[in-house]
Amino acid sequence: MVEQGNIQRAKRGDVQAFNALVLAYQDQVYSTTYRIMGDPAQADDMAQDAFVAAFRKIQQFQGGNFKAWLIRIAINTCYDELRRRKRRPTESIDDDDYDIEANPKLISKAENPELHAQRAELRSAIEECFSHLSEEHRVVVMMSDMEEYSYEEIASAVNISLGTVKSRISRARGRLRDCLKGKGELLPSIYRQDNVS
Amino acid sequence: MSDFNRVMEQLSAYLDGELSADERAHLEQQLLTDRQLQAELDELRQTVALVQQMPILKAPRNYTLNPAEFQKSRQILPLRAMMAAAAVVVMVCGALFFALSLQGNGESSQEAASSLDKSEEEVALAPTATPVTPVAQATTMAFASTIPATDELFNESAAEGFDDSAQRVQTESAVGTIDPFSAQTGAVAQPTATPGMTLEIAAAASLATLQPSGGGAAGQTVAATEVAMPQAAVSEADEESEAMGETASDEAPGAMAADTASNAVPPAPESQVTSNIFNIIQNMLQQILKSLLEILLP
Repeated sequence: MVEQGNIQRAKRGDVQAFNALVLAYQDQVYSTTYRIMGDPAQADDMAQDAFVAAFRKIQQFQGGNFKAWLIRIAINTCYDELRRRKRRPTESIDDDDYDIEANPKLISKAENPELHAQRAELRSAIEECFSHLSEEHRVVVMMSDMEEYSYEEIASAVNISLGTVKSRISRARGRLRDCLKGKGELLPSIYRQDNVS
Repeated sequence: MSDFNRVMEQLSAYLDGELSADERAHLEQQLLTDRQLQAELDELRQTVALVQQMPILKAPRNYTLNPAEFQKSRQILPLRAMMAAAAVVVMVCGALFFALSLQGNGESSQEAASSLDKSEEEVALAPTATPVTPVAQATTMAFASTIPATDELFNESAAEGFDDSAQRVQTESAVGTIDPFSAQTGAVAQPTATPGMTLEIAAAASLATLQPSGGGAAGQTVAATEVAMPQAAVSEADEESEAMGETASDEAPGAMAADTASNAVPPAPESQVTSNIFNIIQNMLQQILKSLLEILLP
């Protein structure tokens, strides 16, 4: 398999082989960092840092799902940055700067144009509601709902108790639900089963 | 925590399959009769589904790494590994040298001589093994003088190597020249060798020590003199710190040989201990060098 070959070559220090992996997964990694950091510029920095970290740690990759391994590194990179900021609060994310409509990169390459047109409002609403979550809530929701970490894995990665994981995920989902309900006029069918299935 | 929040936590954990069997059974029982609870669960489930539908975003740029920058940083690692390996080899050789020094100091010249067999060639080598003849030139001469006595054991090429090493033992062993025989002394003498000695030289010298490349009779001779030779090397190493004529003038090599021959006794238990120590150290060196070579030459 091409990916396995690139991984093995990257383990031997082949940067070009690693770059092939970067190109294959950079969108997923950027999506992860963007949703956790909530800011395009910071997400960009975190994505680059995540790939540098991945290259330096690639000897530790023992096989399995390489994308999941990369995403995990991206999440950890973001979480480390958020913790670092808490220790040294020099700047905070300004919610006013977070404008989904103004971000030209918020385009799914996975969707075809028709689906994109039909679900643009829905997607915009979800992204906006997600961005309004606290950093802590974004991290646990990303890990739980996007990357399907178990509660135990989240507790270990974020260094919090299982009970805290449980309550954070529950509250984050509750806030997302309330936010989406508040957009009911824009998204009248948001809670129709056929719209999300 | 309010009852509502507790229920929401239960519902959320239920969706993720994180409830215990008892908790799940209890909640499912409630869901059968409580429509409001069922509606809350549906909304949560749909919210999670929406989050999972969030699209993959297009990266604003490529995050490829600059090969020039990262290839270079990778090249530093082998260099560091080589430096570490060199340090390990020097430390091991130092330990070996120290052990030999202790051994040499702890044994009398008679004990040293008695550790050798009574055979003619080994008796002839005995003066080089004694700590009372540390002067390098005397040692070199003693080596050279043994060649005729050990002719039967050497083929010509091995003898040439031996003679060559005897002449160069003071100089070329310090810069890593590997001869069938000088390798032995070269490795032992490394702690006093040039500080800038490279890993390759140290490793090669040590390997040569472990696996004499002289082949055939030469290799056997090296093995047979494994006790004597390091002591000769120690004597050489000590020459810088000891007065030249302090001990060398005590006894002449010939007299020493005669004395050794006349006082030769069966091998002392210490010689067996020494042999074991050498074996252990050799095994350690072999393992370390194998590991290092695996690291450095993947």
